[in-house]
Amino acid sequence: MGIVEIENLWYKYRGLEEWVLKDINLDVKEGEFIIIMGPSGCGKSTLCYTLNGIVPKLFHGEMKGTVIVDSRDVSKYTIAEMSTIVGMVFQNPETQITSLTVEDEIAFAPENFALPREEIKRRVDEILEFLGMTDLRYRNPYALSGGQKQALAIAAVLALKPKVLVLDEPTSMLDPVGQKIVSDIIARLNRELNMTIIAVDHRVEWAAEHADRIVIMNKGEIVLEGKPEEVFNKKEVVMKIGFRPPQVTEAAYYIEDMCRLNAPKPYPVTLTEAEKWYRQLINKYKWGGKDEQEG
Amino acid sequence: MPKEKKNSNEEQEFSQGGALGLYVPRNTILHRLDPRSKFYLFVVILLTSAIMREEIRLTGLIFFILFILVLVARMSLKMYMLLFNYTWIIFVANIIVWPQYPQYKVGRIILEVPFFGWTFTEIGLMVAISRFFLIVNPIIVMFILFTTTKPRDFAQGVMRFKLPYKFGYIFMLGLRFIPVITKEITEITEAQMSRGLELQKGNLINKLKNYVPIFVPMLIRMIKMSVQLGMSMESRGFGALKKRTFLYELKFSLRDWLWVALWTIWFGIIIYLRVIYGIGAYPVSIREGLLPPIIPYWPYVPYLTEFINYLFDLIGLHLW
Repeated sequence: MGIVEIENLWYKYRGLEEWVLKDINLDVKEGEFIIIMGPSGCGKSTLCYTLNGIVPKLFHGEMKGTVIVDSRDVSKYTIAEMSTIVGMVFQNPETQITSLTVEDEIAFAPENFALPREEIKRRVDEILEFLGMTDLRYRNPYALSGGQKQALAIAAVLALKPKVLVLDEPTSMLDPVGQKIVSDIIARLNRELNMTIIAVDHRVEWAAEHADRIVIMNKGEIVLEGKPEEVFNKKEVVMKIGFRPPQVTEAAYYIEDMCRLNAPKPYPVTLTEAEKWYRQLINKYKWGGKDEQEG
Repeated sequence: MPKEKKNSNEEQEFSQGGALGLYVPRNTILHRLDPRSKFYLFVVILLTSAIMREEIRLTGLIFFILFILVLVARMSLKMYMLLFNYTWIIFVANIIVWPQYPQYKVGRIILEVPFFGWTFTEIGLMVAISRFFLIVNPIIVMFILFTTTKPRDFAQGVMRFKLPYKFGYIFMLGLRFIPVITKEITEITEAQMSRGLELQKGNLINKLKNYVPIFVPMLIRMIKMSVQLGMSMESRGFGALKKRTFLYELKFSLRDWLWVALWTIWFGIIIYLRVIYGIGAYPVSIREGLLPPIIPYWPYVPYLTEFINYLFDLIGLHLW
């Protein structure tokens, strides 16, 4: 029993001919860190939105199949009711911030659920402490940097203590510094609070390093799914859909093709793995290379 | 003492980065008042102005009181003068138009403009100034209300009036998105200008047409942004319940009760003067004998029409 169970999910936006999601099956265990990747327009965001009911409740369309989060059928609950279970963070930090101080922004969600004042205050303190933003408490979000704004958007969602955090391209509008702030927070949430995280992100290197599982989508279907090293070892499939693997993996593919070697498997995904892989490669062809030079 | 320090710290932090609308963080009595009691002041001043609209001494007194309140709220006079930058047109229009009504062309003539046939009598001018005050006074109260109330307190104030809190959020989101939209407009303008859009070219109609390539993308972006904002707010439970709590609750304290009592007494006096002595029904001259006699008239019926007339006055129409 996973915390998120998607079964035979089909979805089509109203007025469009093509299915955006085609027969999606996904099981996510509690505490898992999943990164969804794929070219734009492949249905990543739509898949995320089905998890709290934005699709099909706000974006109308035809939906088949079931989405079950924390043993609740999402279609039977309102978006607001789901928000205590699924936290949703979007791409643009500007359009997620509603208040004029950091403190009010974090308090916004619990206020909506009419929690007692002491409880709200406690949660705000807790979250600010966790994110190390205590000194920004009375600031106007307008004066924060992009990364801090997105961190605030995450904080605002965390105030409801959701079990699953869904992030739809949280770093794609940020500068490198902001990306680092946000991705560190996401990794910490998973590691320290054991929160289930489903993120859409384009940075493969980061995904390969942190994700428990990578899901690659193409044209509304899940093409590849599994641990980073499993996924990027299916060279043919990865190359076929034109997906860019981590740079070290790409280099390994390239070396194998160019030198027509029988490269050691599995391919490296992270930098440390790459170091090992190159050592293996060098050891394997050391004598052969030397012979040629001498001859 | 530590509390004071925290407040000033908050004040300082709060003022960093714009987008607070008119709100000026200070620590004065008016800032500490509940927004509801400040709104009560607005209602009282509006009604008082309506009832006393011919009486320069009273409209002038209100103006003076409000001026003192602005000083109490420690608003800079620069900001206050900003208000008058835009109201001088009303002032000039009043000065020219009101004295021309036949019933005010009595008494000592101060100025005559032969070519236009304008006559300015003492009474006419006083009426004009009085009318100016009664338009400006409610504006000043609103100015006080908006400069001394934190935007977040408006949402709560609206909810306390038994209205859905969503209405209060309209105002707050407006403030929040002014800088965002300004930034968007600058971005779009720069992008379009780098593609060869010339804004200052041609006559007035052409100049307006030049803004179409800025206006259309801006509209599209704003619609997209509002969809995203709606998604984000709804997935944080906005509108889930009819009532919500607030991190900082508004308290209607003793200070507020005193304030309301004070202005209720004031309003009572105004009603008394009007109903028993008829003050405010006719313009008052410094010289006696020119006025229609002050008759104690009771019952006085057309309060409602009077008020409606006043509202029309505010938008520049006058119905007889």
